[in-house]
Amino acid sequence: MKKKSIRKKKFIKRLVSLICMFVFMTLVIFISVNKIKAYYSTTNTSKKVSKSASISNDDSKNIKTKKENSSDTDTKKQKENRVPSTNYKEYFKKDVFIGDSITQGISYYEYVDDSNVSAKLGVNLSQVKSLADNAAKIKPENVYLLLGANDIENKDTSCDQFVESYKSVIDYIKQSMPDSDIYVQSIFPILPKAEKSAKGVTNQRINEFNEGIKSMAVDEKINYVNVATIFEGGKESLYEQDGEHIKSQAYPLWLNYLEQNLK
Amino acid sequence: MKKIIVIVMAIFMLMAGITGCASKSSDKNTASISTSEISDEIKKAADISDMKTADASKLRKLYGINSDELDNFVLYTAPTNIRADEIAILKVKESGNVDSIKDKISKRIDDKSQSFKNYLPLQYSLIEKHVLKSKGNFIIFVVSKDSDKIEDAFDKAVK
Repeated sequence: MKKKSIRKKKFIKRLVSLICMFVFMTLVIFISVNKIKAYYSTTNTSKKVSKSASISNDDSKNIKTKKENSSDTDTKKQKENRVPSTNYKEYFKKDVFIGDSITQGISYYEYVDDSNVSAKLGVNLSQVKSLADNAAKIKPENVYLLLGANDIENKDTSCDQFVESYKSVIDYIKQSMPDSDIYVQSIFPILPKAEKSAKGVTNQRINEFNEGIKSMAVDEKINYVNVATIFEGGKESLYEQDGEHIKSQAYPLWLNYLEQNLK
Repeated sequence: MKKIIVIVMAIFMLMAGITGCASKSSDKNTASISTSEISDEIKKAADISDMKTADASKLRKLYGINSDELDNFVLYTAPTNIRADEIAILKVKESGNVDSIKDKISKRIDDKSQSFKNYLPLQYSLIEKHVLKSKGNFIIFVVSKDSDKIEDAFDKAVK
């Protein structure tokens, strides 16, 4: 009987020690498997997020035209013939563009920095003062205004009323930014498919308003820049689906035109 | 002796089985998935091919969120400024920061709403039905016509 119980005890001991050994091995395998998995997951998270596909102001493609040399001695013709700089951030760094969603695109598409654009979606002439206050912060050399696209949405606004409202905006800017040169730009045409004649949103009315802006510029002794000419002819490829906003790739045409036509 | 071997082998196989199961469940552990993998799942559920991929500087500019607070992130923005769609998938390093980061996203929602509210009603309605939720250390923010599908893809990917 004793022998049997001793054997039994030995058996249990061996069993227990073997079990312990295997449990230990299992734990080791478990921990090392998890560690390997953790290692692989951290190498996955180090994958770089791809850069935004911004249409570039690529310095390597930059054909430099020195603004310092574009002094008063340059004739306008010479300016028009010169190849414009595509480094818009540099060229316009002391200026501010004020306007609506079309102007906002200049910084949205990263052609110039945010600080050089003061714009708000849907803005009309009655809402420009806060944009002007924002622009005044950097004491810009030049201020480029593109306004009116939202004002023509109101068919009851006459051209005279529009011009009067614009004049008070100009007067406000002259007061708040007395050292800045002011440029007013013609309202861009819209594609025929976007015209809504019942609402007065037509290219004919846009042309009428642009004539008003042009004569206002003479009265106010400020500069009128007829940027709209580059979009005439209904070039569909330059417009978004809505036929009212220009596409990102149209912005260089605008900015190049400014470079070649500013006084 | 034979008895011992048989019993021990049985126990070993049992342990191996349990270990195997435990390993399998850790595959679906939220800790191991990355935001780019979540993004891949979203791309299977909805067509976001025309959205722009944005980097850390855009994340900071639009949300005021520093990418140092994140393990990883993916950010998609609208291809034009007259569209409101946007998707942000963030994995926050410290779980204690999840709420403060969600607050920054809420501020972004307010800004977008302000821009589009009286200007483009259709885009504004997309902002109104936005998705902003967190699961563990993951946060997702979606403004999209397919926000439901994208939310489902996120829920399936992050368990």
